Amino acid sequence: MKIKDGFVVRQVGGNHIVVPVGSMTVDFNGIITLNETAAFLWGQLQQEHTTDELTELLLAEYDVDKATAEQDVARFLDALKEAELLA
Amino acid sequence: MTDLCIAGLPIRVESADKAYFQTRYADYIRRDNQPPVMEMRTRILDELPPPQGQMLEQVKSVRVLRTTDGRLCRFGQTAEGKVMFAIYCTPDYQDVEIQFCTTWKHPHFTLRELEYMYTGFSFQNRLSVLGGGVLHSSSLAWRGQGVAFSAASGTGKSTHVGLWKERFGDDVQIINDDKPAIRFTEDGPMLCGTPWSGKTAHNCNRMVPLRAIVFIERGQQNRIRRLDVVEGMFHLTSQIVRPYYDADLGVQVVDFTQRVLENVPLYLLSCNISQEAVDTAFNAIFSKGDA
Repeated sequence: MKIKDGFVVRQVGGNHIVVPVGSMTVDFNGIITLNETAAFLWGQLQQEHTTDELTELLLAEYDVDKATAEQDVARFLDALKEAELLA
Repeated sequence: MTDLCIAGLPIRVESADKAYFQTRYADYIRRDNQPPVMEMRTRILDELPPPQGQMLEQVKSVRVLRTTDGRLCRFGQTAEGKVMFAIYCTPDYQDVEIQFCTTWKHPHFTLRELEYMYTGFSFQNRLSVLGGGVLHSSSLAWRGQGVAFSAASGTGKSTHVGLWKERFGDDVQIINDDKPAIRFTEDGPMLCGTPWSGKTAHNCNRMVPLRAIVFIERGQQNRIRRLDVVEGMFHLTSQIVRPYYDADLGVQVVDFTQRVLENVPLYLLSCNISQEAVDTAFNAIFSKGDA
């Protein structure tokens, strides 16, 4: 899975903010704010990854246990699916 | 061809509705020999040639294609395939040709209004490439200091600016009642008048330092506060248009939006229609030393 095209991420004052561009502005109103972990996962999902791969990437990047990483990935993917942001 | 200076930029235009735009552009005529940074032409024709090139996407009823000579073209056509409008732009929006079919019956706008709107969009696009942008707002200068009041249409931006004019008289000048330009110069962010000011002709050819952007919402009582970064980005992206037909240009608009966020104080004013609302905004934006 990967995130749909048509978004840019900006870091402003310690915040990660996602803004739609191009034809995505027609379908998606508003902006998205991401915490540190979500911003990392968002970046990874610019390319195709499985859930397991995302968990591994998160474990490699941050000092967290596997259960926490799996939970973070699942929660993030649920939010993406709910907002219909996965390609 | 008419040579204009808009937001300090030399522009060359060729209008279809010459009599109307002679009045609209009167304050922006220039007579220097600077080469234009942008040229735009409007043509109204009985038949528009079907745009040729590689189809990129269709967004609602508008088709977007890349012409064989590298221009971006967005166009609309009838169910029978007759082209009603086509906008051709070089990738840097330096050269724009706007074509309307004489038989185009837009549900809401006349051809004159459409020419006014599309020339405004075209200027906005070129300005974005040059690092500036356009904020949907009613804006004024108080003693040479620019303030833009921004909100969704119908909230009361122009009404609030009218209250400032009523209060301060000649100390206040309306820069643009609907879509002022913002440019970053060595003097910092500048608020600039443009001929495209929505339904009114309230605009002037003037550039002043941009002191603040105030987002307006209706309220029973008058109060104002500074916006944090996330709130600021939310409000700015709501009122700075990103073109649906060009994602790359959209990224440049986001760059501009971020620069505004980082360089201009942003406020949220909850207000009613009263002079107290003017006091509330004025006292937050300007210090005693300004008065």
